[in-house]
Amino acid sequence: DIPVLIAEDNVISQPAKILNFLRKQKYNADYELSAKQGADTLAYIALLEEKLLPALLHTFWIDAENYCSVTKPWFASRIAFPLNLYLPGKMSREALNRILLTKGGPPLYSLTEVEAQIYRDAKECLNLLSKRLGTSQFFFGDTPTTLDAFVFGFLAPIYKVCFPRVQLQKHLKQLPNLCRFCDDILTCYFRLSVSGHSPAGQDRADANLQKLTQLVNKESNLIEKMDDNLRKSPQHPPSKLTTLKLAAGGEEGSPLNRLSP
Amino acid sequence: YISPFTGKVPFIHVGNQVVSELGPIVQFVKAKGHSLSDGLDEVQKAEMKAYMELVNNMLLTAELYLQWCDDVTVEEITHPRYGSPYPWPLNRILSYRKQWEVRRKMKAIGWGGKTLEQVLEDVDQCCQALSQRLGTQPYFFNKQPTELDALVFGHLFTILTTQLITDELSEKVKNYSNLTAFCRRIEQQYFEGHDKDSSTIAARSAKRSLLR
Repeated sequence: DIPVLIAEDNVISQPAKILNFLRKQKYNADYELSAKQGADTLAYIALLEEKLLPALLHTFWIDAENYCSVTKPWFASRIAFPLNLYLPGKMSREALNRILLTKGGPPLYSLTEVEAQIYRDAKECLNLLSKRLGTSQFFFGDTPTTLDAFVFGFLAPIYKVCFPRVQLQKHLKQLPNLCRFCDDILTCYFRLSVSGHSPAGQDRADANLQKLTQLVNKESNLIEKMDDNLRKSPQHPPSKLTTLKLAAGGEEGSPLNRLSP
Repeated sequence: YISPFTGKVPFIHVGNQVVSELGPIVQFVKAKGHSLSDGLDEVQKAEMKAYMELVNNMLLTAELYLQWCDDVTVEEITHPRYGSPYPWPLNRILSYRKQWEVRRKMKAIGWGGKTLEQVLEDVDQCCQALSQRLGTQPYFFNKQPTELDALVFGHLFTILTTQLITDELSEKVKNYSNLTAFCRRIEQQYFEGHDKDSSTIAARSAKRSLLR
């Protein structure tokens, strides 16, 4: 059962119980909030659970392509034998059960109709969150609160996990303030966890793009200088020109080669 | 009444169309050019939808739990009431089937393991949030009623006026005086004076005394 908090001798699971435990230890992210903001927190958490969670469960556990190629191997690799043979299947069945029981009543009779409805709801929920966040850094000003943690917990998997079927991720990427929200939290609080997957590759590609831009700028400066030199002293042998060009090509090196066909 | 189409209440009958459940009714009315939440900006609309989900998530589920998962209430109130339109043994069969369905759903969303005290705790938390959001305003979004007001009124009025074995559920709501005042105000403004039938008036006076 995740998330799990292990503190000294206590093992606590489920978000609500973990939050209670932390509050008893005098840790409270919502200390500065007004009563109305506290009420808003509850309301938005309910919105996430009702409208976004079903689609999240579907993307991870029910969509056959996603489940077989990503979720099942990923979870199975982190669970000990023999549970890894049984537990992912159980979680998948529970997710399907939950969706059908809560969302599957008439007039939606087939799984396809239910799926269409839950993805519509999820996209609307993402839009609502984006409108609520606006241009602030966090949902209640400049410091993170419980609501930020909840929203991040729901959004980060959608944002970062690379599934074959990604309609939710595509929708999320059209909401730049939510993406910025996730990225901010990832860089501030999760700096150590970059490893192996293509999210890190994406960062590397961004860094390469930056380097490339700098090199292109340097090269255009070089070309300008060469031009000046040529105009001033026409007897410069062409071989030197070639050498300079080759050197510039070598500097740009791998990023440029990777990008050009 | 129960909608013949989906079997769900509430429903409206307009011309030859039947539209059931709150979401579709709101959209239907909006398509005809009337919307209670037109005056709200985007952030307020998001907030309204979030609070509506809170009410659905907590209050509706708690009502279902109390009706179908609390053994005493099930035996003495729910089974007789649910099965009353049908002859024996259909009445027992249908109500047991409904009970099984509701318990399955509760288990799927994680309420299966909850005790009555925990459910009442959740109701209290929800009412506290609604009370804090309402504050001293007449409606949730100040001067004009919106879909949220209608939904909250529907649930709170039912909780306050339906007689169960114990009063624990309605007591939780009565702890918040601005919520009971809210219900009374809406009832007076929108529902009084429409029914001239004396038996209905008697029923309403009985309900009013329960509200106090």
